[in-house]
Amino acid sequence: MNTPALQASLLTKHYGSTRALDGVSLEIAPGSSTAIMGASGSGKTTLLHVLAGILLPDSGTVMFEGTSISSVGDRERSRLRRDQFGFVFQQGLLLPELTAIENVALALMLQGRSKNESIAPAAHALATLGLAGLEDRRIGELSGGQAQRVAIARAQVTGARVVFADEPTGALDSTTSSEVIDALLASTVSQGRTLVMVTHDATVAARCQRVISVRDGRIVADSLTHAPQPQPPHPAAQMQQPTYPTAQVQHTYPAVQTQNGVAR
Amino acid sequence: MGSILLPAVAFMCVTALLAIVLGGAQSFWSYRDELAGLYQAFTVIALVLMGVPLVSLGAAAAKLMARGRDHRLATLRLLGATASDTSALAVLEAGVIALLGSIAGALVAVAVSPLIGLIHFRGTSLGTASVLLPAWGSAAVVLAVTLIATVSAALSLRRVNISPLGVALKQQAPAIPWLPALIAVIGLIVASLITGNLSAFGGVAAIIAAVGIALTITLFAIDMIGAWVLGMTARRQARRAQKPAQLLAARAILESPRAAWRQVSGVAVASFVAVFAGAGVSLLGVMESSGEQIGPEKYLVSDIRTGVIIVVVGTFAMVACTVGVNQAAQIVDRADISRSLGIMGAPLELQDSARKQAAVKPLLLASLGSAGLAAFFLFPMVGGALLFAPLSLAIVLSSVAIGFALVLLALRATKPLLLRVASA
Repeated sequence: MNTPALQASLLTKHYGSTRALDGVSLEIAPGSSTAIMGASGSGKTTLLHVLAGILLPDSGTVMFEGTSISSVGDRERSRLRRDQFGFVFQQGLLLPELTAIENVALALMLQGRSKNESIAPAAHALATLGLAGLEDRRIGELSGGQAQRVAIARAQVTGARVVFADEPTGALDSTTSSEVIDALLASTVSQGRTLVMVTHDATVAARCQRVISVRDGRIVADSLTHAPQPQPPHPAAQMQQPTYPTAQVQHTYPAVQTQNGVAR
Repeated sequence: MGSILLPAVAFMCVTALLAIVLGGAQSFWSYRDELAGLYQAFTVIALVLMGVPLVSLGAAAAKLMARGRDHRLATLRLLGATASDTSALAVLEAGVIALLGSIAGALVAVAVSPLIGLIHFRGTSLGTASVLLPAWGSAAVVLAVTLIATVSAALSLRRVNISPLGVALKQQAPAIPWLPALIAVIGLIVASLITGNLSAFGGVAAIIAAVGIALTITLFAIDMIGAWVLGMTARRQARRAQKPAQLLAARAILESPRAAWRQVSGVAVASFVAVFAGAGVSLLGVMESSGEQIGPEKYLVSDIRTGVIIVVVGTFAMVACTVGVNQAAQIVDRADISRSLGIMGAPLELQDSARKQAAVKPLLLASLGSAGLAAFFLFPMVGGALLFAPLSLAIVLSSVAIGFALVLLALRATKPLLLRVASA
């Protein structure tokens, strides 16, 4: 039996007198997609943050691939989030002063890689999400959907084993939402990564294999959907027929220059 | 709270520094001897030099107050408030915040006046009473700062009232215009030609005038070229940066090299003055020690040196306040991004290092660049000072080091805010 990607046991979390989590237990299988749904104040975001090691529960445990993350210090949890987890936020929260490729490369640079070492994988991540040609664009020059795809590229370029998404389509229209969810699922689950997503949108949740409903800090429903396994973008198709709309600007990103075998 | 407290603190700094500077300056108007006019002339020059960074600080305070206000007022307009309603509200808000901040600033100036009174001129300390503004003077400063802030708020309201649906999107980094830089280079060449051919000007008065013109041209040129050099340097740094903090710092400067330069331009002037006046005073000190001075002249050279140090340290203090105010605003503005970086596993030290580099690199360029230019144009004088009075020159230049320490202190003072915001 596979070790669960994430395993939570009897989680509780209070904010003052408010009980955000009340004895939540669940297991998330590796390579699966799970949507956590609930109204505002239901505890869904708190659950996501506790599973991701952003917050510590008041009691209970969280395990990542069999290793406890709820009993380690802040530095170790930061390292885990940097190396093993990826994050997609509602507003993207990309750095507006960096270009698209720099935003994606930053995730690798945070792991200690140099910029030269990070540029090529960042460019590849953008290309697989249909953003080839937009590498040098600033975030303000991109549409909402394009910016969110940059955020998805940033979340998975490090090879994150679990991607956490907090309302990734919350600020998008329905057409763009659909494109973004396609991109998110294709770059995570179809690549063997685990996706845990918070959403209030039932249409978006239905795209995941499993939907967990949270109310008053408790899981009130937990069901499997029959969403089809998402297909990865075909490598050849990317070259001839991009899956996602691409910019009309023709731009070739320069290859990493080297001198005596050293990137410069 | 941040939209009220931060601007109020900024106006407190503006008012306190203005009151301290004016209070100190007024003490020279009690001199009645033959050198009184000279002291007063130097005081006016010092006030003009310190006026530049003080205006920058005031502008930072006004901008801080406008931050976020436009969105709030645009929302009110969309909800049905009339243009005159939003105007009145904005002006009233600005006036109240500026008034509260400037009253606090006036009180701070009174509190530090005993320290300012310890500064020595003419062999004796100035004394608290002579550096304290009279009550009407403090009131005038408070009123002036409040009025300027209110007028500034009123003038900046046009955009909200014309287009409440307008959204400012930072789509492209501003271009770095090259024309001011070209004019500056031409100016520097002209200044260099003047200082390199002083003998052609005939009499002493003409030479002094020529030097004065060359220095004025150089100071203007430094201000014109500063943003361009900063932008070019940051662009190169962004291309070459290999570590996250270096990349973030370079890109932060590239967002607006003009704004980054404006924040530290006062330091460029102060550093230029430190080298030029410091060398001059050092050589004067050497000449003075060869003869017996009596009366007020006995203290003239050391008083000029003290004045130069006050201008340099005072300017850096104003720049430190500006940096602190701007940093606090930026930290609050980018709270979401700070938190997201923390969630992604970026250590807080990385964000701290990036913002420090973004603040210190322009400061280094302004200070070392203009000090270097001063040394270049006035090489004979600076060289002489290095040879004959190195200690005197070192004392003046150490004021630049003190100034840097003040700016680093201002950056350090805002770290708790970053910590609170990033971990919220």
